[in-house]
Amino acid sequence: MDENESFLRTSVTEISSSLIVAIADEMSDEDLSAFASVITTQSNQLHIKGVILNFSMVQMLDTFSMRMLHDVSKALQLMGVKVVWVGLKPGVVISLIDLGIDFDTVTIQTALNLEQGLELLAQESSL
Amino acid sequence: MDNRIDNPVMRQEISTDLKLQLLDQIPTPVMAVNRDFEIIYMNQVGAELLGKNRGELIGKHCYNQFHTPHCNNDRCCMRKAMTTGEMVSSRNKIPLSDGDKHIMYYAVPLKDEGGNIVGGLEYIVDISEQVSYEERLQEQSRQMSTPTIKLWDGVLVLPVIGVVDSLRAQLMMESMLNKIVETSAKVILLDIQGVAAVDTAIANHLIKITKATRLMGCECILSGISPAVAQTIIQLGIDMVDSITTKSTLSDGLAEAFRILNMKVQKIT
Repeated sequence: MDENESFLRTSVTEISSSLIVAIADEMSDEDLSAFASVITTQSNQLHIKGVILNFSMVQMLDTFSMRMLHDVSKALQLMGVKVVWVGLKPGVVISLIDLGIDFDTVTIQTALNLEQGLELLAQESSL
Repeated sequence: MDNRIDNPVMRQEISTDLKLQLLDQIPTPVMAVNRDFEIIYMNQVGAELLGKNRGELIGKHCYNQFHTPHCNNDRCCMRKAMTTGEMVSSRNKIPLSDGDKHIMYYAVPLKDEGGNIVGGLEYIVDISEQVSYEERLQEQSRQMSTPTIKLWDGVLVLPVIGVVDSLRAQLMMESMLNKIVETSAKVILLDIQGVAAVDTAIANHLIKITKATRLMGCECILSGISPAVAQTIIQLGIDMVDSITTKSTLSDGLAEAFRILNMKVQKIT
């Protein structure tokens, strides 16, 4: 249960077979790996169709965290779960672009805020 | 007067007599120092600039009088002039009681009969007018370079005119991303009709900008690509086609934006 202990720093809400995950600011490497395993197992157990990662609390994101979150998102994609990143701040985006990250916008969708993210997921499930 | 100058002996006499007066009368600060940067000469305007008497400045270290960012370090033109034996000039600013004064200063080495460098002479030109004009121009172009305009509900447009350098690309990106958050835009049109030529650096900046807007959940359409620009992009081997939606005119771009937003423009029948 140690994994869950550290992961409790972030909030996970389940709404109509979607998970809404609020990413905390300055997550440590341990937090992130715990987060990765918990989120994938939960999506599997609860038969989740879509996951929204909410970055609106994040003020800073380093390349390592970015890659971890990117990998988790891709893993979820493999499990047939739609992933939407929402609420990335302009400052965070500019620093990520300056660091030269390669973001796969084809498999991972992005939206400005939670509302637009939910709309995106609703569109996907109605198709 | 003419007669006296024609006489070689008299000319010699006049020039030695007038030398210091000539320097004194130059309406811009002139200063000479020895190798230890001790002031050996300062003209009237120079002393007035520092608000001191000419007499009390002699023998003092020049860096203790001016306190500029170049003073007593390797950026000092006087030091460079004395080591290289050539004229060195640079921009600088003198901190005065009523704020910084922007100057251009020129330093030349002084040599003795044997050609050994024994000191340096420097004169200062006030360029505060020029600098304030440059700053105003820069501020103006900075404001003009990033006009992100809301064109429709959820559609923004950023017309780019002139040269795109890294600084401007950075400003454009910041302005766009902030405006996207502000207006919850879903599509942004980047119109490069006004960009005369596109090189690899500019293309790279544009690709970066489109990536950034995508991370914010906003699609970026590049419009206004003229035939010449399209050909250069292909000749340079830049892979833009796969990563960016491109259109030739702004209206095509707007039509694409409407398509993305599931909107349709219809004639009223």
